[in-house]
Amino acid sequence: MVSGGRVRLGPGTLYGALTNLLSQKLIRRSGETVAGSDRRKVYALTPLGEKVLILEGERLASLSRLASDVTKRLGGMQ
Amino acid sequence: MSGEKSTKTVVRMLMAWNDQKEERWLAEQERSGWHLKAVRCFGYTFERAAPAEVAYRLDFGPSRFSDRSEYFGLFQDAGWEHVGTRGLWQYFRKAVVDGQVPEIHTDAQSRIAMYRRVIAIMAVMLGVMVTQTVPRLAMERQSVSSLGRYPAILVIQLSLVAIFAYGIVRLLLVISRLRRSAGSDTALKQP
Repeated sequence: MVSGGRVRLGPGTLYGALTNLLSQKLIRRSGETVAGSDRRKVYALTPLGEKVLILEGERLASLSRLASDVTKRLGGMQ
Repeated sequence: MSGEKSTKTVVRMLMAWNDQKEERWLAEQERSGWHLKAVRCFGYTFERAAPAEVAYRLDFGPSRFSDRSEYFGLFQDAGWEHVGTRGLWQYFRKAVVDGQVPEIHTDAQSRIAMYRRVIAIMAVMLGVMVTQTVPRLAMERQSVSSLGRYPAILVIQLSLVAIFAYGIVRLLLVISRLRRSAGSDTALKQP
C-alpha cells in the first residue's frame, strides 16, 4: 500500500476519482487484466498524467523544502 | 411455529436529500431483527432475522446504460454487499465490526459530487416539467374554466414542478452543509 494504510478510500469515492481522472485524460485503461479476475481493470498514466504527476511532485517537494527551512530556522528538527 | 409473520413489506418514499436518514432507518430495522430482503420501487421487504449491527449505504450510481461491472466490482472488493436498486440509487450493506462503521464515501468532495449528479437529473426533469406546464397555464388563462380541460394532469404537473424545485433546494442545502464541515473530513485517518 502506497500510503502505508494512512489513506482509506471508500469504493464510492474511488469510483468517482477514477471516473474524474479518466475524463481529464490523466489515466487510461491499459487493457491488461489482473490475474484471476477478468473484472478488475488496470489503469495506466497517460503522457499528460505523467506530466501532471511530475509537476505536482515538484510542487510538493518545493513546499516541503520551504517547510523544513522554516522549521530549522525556528530551531526544530535537530 | 409462532403466529408472528416472518416477512413484512413497507411502503416508503425515498427522498434524495434524506439518503442518510434512510441508511439509519435501515440499520435500525436490522437492529430490531428485520433483515432487508428486497428493495422495491415503492419500498422494502424485510424478513425476520437475528438482530445485527449492519451499515447500510445508498449511492447514486452510474447510468444503467454504462458498464457498471467495474462499479459493482469496487464495492464487492471492499466487502460491500449489493442489496438492491431503486432508480439510480444503489443499496449496499456491510457488517459493523468492533464498532467500526464502514463508509463508501470517504471525503466530503465525493459526496458533494454525488448530490450534484442528483441535482443535474432533477434539473432536467424540472426543465421538462416547466416547458410542459407553462404554455398550458398560459393557454388556460384564456379559457373559461380556471383549471382547463384536464385539471388532474395540470395539478400533477404542478406538483411535480414543486417537488423537483423543492428537492433541488434541499440538496443545495445538504451540499452547503457538507462544504462547511469539509474541515472535519475523514479522508485522512490518523494511524
